[in-house]
Amino acid sequence: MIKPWIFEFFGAPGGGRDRPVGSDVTAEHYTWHLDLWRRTEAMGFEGIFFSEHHFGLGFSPSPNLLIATLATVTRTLRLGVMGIVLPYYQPWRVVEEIGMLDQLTGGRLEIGTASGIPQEMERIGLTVEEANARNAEAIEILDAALAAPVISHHGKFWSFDNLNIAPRPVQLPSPPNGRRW
Amino acid sequence: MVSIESARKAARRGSKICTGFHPIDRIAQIFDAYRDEAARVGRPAGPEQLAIRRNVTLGRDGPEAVEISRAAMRAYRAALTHDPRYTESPLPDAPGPTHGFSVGDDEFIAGTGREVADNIIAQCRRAGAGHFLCTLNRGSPLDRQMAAFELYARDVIPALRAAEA
Repeated sequence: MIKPWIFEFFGAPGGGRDRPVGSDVTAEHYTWHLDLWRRTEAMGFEGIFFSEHHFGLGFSPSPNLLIATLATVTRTLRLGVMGIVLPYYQPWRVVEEIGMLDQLTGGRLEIGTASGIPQEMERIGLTVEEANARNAEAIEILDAALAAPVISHHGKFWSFDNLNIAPRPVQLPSPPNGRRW
Repeated sequence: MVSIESARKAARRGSKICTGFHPIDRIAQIFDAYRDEAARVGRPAGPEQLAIRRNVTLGRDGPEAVEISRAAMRAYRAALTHDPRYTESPLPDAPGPTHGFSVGDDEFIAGTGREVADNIIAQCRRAGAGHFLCTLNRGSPLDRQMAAFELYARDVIPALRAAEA
């Protein structure tokens, strides 16, 4: 079997790059897409992966918010991000949100991570080299936190002891079934 | 995930991988490297760990879908020129930037539901992928996007679920 998924880039209306979009058009754009995504469950899709893009490239800079919204109107559709751009975040906070979203979706969360794209990194003064290094260290923390509820870490970008990461995901040992994207 | 090096790293840490952009023969090379590395570290991998992501366009008929897809492909390639990793001259066998990528013709799949399903199944089998991620009718008006989702659900999804990866 080949499992059919949606990869939702969720572009801004009209392309959006560096152009402001009116709030009424924005609201209509969200409403239309939320209705479409809700309907894809009955269409037979396995799930939806949302992209994460910033600064006008797409309309889901925080795709976890879309997952939380869809969790309440779907029952079987698997939901994830392809991928969470780890160098932009505190990795312990990413894992906390993973725990929350896996609970809110009833164990339907897919975890995907990414190091980001150069043209967005450049906008915030992040080099590709630093983003790759942050990504590698964040993945170490992510994997450790998914494997155990209390973690310590001492690295180049993050350092902490005995952090209690809660809530824990529904899917054990970690979503999705121990292997993330 | 666009390079053999990244695929090997993912295999070592036990992550599944998804890739797009590249011609399918290049993706098959990347997935071969992933499977080899996964086996080497004692964690054999198969279709369940591998996904292909493509742009898919469905139309009222095949020629219409191809026409819409060509326009989307031109816009897509133009947008990617902002990405320093992107090259417009795909030479999959030539040495290049470690994490560089091109957009092969395989990236844009267009046609009737049956044609699209056959193409997707062929690509997944070539690379050994058990997951297929589609971006449907990129750039089309919303009503055409909705129609494409309905066609995909009716004509493509049953064929994919019935296919062996």
